[in-house]
Amino acid sequence: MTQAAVLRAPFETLAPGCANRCREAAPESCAARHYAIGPVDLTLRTELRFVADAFRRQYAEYEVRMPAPGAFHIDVIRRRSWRSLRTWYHVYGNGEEHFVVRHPRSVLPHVEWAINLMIARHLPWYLQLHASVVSKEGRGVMFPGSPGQGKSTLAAALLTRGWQYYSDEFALIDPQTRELNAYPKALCIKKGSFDLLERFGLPLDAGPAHLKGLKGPVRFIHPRAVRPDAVAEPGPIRVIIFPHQSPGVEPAVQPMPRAQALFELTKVSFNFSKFKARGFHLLADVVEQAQCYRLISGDLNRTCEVVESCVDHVFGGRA
Amino acid sequence: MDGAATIPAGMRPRQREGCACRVLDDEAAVYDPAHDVIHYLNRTAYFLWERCDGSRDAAMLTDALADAFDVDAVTVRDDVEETLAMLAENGLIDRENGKA
Repeated sequence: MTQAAVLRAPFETLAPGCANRCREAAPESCAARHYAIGPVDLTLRTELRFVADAFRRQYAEYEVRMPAPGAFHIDVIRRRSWRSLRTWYHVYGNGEEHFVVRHPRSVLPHVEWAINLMIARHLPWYLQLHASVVSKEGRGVMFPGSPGQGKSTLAAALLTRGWQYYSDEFALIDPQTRELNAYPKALCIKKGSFDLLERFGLPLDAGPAHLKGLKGPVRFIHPRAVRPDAVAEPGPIRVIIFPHQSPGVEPAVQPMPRAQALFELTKVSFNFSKFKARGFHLLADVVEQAQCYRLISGDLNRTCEVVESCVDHVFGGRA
Repeated sequence: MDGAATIPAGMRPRQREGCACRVLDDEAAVYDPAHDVIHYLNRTAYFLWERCDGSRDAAMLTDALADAFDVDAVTVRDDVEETLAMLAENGLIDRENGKA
């Protein structure tokens, strides 16, 4: 089936005033639920029960009674095109239309995506990097990189080995403390990893897979469904590993010069341009206190072993 | 950036003012606020950039590099010129003569 998903607002590129606005204020009867997912406060408003329920299944334990001041507003509205008579689902963030999707199973991933866009734009306090982030024994391990390098799958697999979770999308670095803060969203897993992660015993959400644009079918894993204590407390970044997926190759890590790691980190920052020189020194401080590596990842189990061995080596103080 | 990528003989390049530099394990990352970009300098590029203070021309920088890394100056001369050209092209050094 052809997926109809229109990205209305790529990161940082939308000119002010050119966005479609949500002209339909959410009606009073509309279900509004409020959540606090780590530092991300949001209100999801929709009359579409399947959307509200699906989101709540992922985030029930983050639900709060009252909306926080400045919470993001995510609205999902169903409309019928009078020209084609087709039903479309419109996803808004703070009143601005981000996505229009055709299939009901596309809605939840695009709600998540809209939240990601809102974080990138409207959570300026943190220096934000595109990375999956986990921790072992209270010390953060970051996997920065572009999509398709297996960051979420690797983070999920490490959770089964007792590691803890910050995020599979954002490294949120507090500029005051240089520490990571968890944005413990549900891990978003692509179809190619479904069977693999189920063999690892991970609880992928039940039912048919969701559809996430060009990424294709995805399913979610709630970190606390893996282990109640799976979400990490704020902590320092001790290891930075840039993954590169090479199926069929024996996994290996290679040391990476810190200056080069710093250079690469700026390329995966969502908001470096807002921090400028301050962000440069902040990231330099981060890499200075970390060991940096490149990872060639392959077989997931072997990759976990290689990463764990590398991290144990660092924490053992021998690196 | 500034265009032409050669350092004229006798010219004594000088670091562009206002750049922030962090040295990490003998290498460096340099932030250029004018263009809001970061550059990664390996050991030798950083060695040269650090010495671009307007008092040395390319030949003197070549000798300094050859001494520090224990290599033959003739062997590294082209690399030095290429690196200086790269630094100039990326706006990390001014190609005006220093005042030394």
